[in-house]
Amino acid sequence: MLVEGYQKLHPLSSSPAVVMEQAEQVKQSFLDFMKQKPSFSPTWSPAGEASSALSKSSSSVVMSSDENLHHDAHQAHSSSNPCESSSESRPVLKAHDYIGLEEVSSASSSVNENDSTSDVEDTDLRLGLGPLKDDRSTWRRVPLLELELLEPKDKATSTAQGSQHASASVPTSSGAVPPPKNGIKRAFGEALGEAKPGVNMASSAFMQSGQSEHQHSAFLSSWPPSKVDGIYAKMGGKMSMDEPEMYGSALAEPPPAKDQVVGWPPIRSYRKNTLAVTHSQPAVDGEGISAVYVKVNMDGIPIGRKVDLNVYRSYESLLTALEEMFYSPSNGNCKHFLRNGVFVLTYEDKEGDWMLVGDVPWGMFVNTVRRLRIVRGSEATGLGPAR
Amino acid sequence: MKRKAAEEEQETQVDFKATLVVSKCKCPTGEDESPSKVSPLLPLSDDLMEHVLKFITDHKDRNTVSLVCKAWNALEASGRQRVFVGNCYAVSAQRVAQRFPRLKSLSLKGKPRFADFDLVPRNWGAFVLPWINVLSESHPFLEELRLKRMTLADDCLELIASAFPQLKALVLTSCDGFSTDGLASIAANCRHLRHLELTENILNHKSGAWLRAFPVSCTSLVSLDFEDLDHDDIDFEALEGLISQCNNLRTLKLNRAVSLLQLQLLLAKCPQLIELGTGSFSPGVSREEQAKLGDCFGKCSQLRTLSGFWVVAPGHLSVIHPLCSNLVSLNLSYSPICDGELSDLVSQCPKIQKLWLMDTVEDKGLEAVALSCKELRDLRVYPDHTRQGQGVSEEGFIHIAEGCPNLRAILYFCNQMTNAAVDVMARNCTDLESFRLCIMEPAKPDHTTNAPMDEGFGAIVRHCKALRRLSLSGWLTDKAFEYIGQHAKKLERLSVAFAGESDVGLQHVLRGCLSLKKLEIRDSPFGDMALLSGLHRYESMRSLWMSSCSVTITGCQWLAHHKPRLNVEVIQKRDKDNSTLVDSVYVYRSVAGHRGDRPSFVMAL
Repeated sequence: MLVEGYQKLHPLSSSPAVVMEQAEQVKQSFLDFMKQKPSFSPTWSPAGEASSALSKSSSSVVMSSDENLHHDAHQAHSSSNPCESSSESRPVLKAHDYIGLEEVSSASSSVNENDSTSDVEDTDLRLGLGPLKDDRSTWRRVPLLELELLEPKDKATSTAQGSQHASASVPTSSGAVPPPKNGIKRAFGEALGEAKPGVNMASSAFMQSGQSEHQHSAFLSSWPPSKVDGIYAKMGGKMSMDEPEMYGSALAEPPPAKDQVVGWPPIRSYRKNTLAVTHSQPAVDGEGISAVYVKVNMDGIPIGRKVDLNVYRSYESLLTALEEMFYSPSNGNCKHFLRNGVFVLTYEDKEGDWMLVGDVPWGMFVNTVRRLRIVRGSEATGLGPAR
Repeated sequence: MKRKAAEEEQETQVDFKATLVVSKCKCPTGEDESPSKVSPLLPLSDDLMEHVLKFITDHKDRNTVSLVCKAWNALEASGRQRVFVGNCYAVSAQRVAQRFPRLKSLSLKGKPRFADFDLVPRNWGAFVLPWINVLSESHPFLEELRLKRMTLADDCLELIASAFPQLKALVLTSCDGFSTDGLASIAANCRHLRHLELTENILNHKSGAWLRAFPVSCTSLVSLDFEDLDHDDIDFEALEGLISQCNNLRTLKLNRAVSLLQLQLLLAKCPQLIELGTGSFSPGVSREEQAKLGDCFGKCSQLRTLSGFWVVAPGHLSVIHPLCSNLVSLNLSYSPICDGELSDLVSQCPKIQKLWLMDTVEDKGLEAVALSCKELRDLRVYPDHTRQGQGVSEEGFIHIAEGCPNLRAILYFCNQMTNAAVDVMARNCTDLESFRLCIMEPAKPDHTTNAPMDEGFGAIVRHCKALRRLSLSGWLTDKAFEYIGQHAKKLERLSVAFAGESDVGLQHVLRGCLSLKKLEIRDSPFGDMALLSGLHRYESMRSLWMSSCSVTITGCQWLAHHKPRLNVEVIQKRDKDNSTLVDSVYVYRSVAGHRGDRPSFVMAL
């Protein structure tokens, strides 16, 4: 798949500056290589081709699942950016790329002036977020910060507004600029100063913009679901091929709490499995998706506990678990203090009444219970017939 | 004697370096170690160097020494006893065996860290057996084996047991593939076993009978940690017998099956413990029993580290109060205690340095911690597994930041965070070496200003000059990466998820963070350009992991072609519509070439 021309590049040399330079050459060659392939056209081509190019292009941005969205986005917004600049000249595009050696054209930046008010979809593009159905044009994430990374000579014209394409441009450690690292630093410093107004705009923009939750629910729900499923599928497939669940003693699947992203939040699977076992006492096999969490207090014990009612399938298992949890000989308990009447389990229902546990079917009980209390048998009068 | 030699060594190193600068060191190229042969330019004889080198034990120092010249390389290699291999595929077992003939202790790490979070498919690799096969022939006197994130089966454990009769320590962390049968063979055959530590492994808990496999005469155990094991049938008598015989026992970490009363029985037999894992700390006992337990704990005057607490019967945490004044490390991360119990506890622990909690203690609990634990160095707050509770927020974070200025490491799982709170921590806890903040909703902004979390993390890298480890979360633009690249000069490990906007972000980091060793990225919009911007960096790093990013197969092939000394491994789903995106790419330096045990889904480029 590789073109032979690139083989003439030297192998590693020892000096770091030379190495960096060669690294730049390599990247430049990569860019050229990418240009040759028709499917790898740069992202800055007019909207029509943008979408397909986007996913394959080597430049910044985006998850492939967002292609279509971007296509629409580009078409909808004529002012949005880079399209114009790209139409000016292809070679200029190279410059936009942060690897390019030439300066970034200022035209693109000025064109993008108004982008700070442009829409959400652009920003989605950049962040790889899912399609936002709402038209919250005030939601501006960003990218006002992008352009600060231009070469020093361009800072006069550049501002902090940027499209995602400008974001790809960065002052590069080109061979032309001596000590490349210093070059970058200088550019950063100067550009940062330049970018301050932009940054302020950005932050004020954030203040004005809409809710984050909305964004995020969209984010999560559309977070490449195909990826997630795919990963699960692949792993499931793999697992069926090897020795299945050798490791399973009571490896219950922890409830997929708030989100469905694989491996997030980053808690070791060992820990997840451990907790699922320890704190869901009877062996769990496919408990409900959500947990019904109620507080349990016992007379004479100042500290309460919380139990997840969905873990238990019946009153029996609930009673057993509570007996284990609250067993304390100091209170004169025997092991089955709930069953022999020394203590009685009561619950507060949705109306605030305290009732004896056990009268209604389990499912109804789980739906109406708000909290539980273990009271002494002698005090549980007037609550209805004892079981 | 030691001091004198160390001083000597320092002086001679200084002298030697001076000499080196002036003249080129002409060392004999042969690897022969005959002590009589002295290079004309070396002011030190090999004998003396060997002696001096014995005092250099840190592996990084020894690596540096071995780079000075070939003579020193050979000398150092012939004397090195502890070898640490950070990536088991970076070097072949044969090479290690050849280079270090006197090897006594080997530490190996296998899978990329994201394997802990199910991001690496099973059967990826990191098999221990090839190493054991080689070492069993060349180093039968191996004494210590420490493995992390590797896969080993029972037959491997049996081989270890039979091939290394002098084995003194076996430490398995986050490994998988074995069962309690393998442990039984270790217990039975390693007569000199001192340390058997299993931490967070995924194993098959067949039965508790393995404890019986220890020889009746076993007295050598110094540390026994089997917290991982989940079998129901623990052989308590065997355990009790073992404990009473091993008078040198310093570390004992029990699994969930051990109840509170059983713990009391065991503690009575080994009051000299320094570290204890308490088992389930339940079911509850009567007041009198609690008092007796308290006395029992009080007798363990050397106890400094406590962990376990898998269940914790309500109200029973008070039995450890007699110990608290000396306690240095407390791991309550598996017990869903509330703030009341916690504040009672920590108010008596002024010396505590390491505290791991579950977020059921909420912000009030953290406030109590901040009030009492001024020496706190390492704090972790884990989320409750059901995540139905309120958890912790930026309030608790600020309490800790203001109350515990000596903080070196923090891991904080929270539902919401603000830049201002992170800024407070950055300004107060300037000694931070490890900052891991996990806002549990991916890409969530600062919840009061709706701004990205750039400024907060920027403040951290700016003020905490000693920062070596950083994990990012929340909504982050390229600005955050710019800050990191600019300021985090000592950063060695960076973990990125759902962050960044464009390739520029990653470029900042790869260019700016000169000490970077491990970089792991998931679900971030970095593509081929970003990957290639680090072309000149990857050989000085241990590894790079990128999954669910925008990297294409072409980029990876480029990287592989131009850096032949890197291993580029790609996992790509076969039937994705038309995309050339790879699912994950793992790049690491290696002198062993591509690994031969790749599963079918891993492509080596």
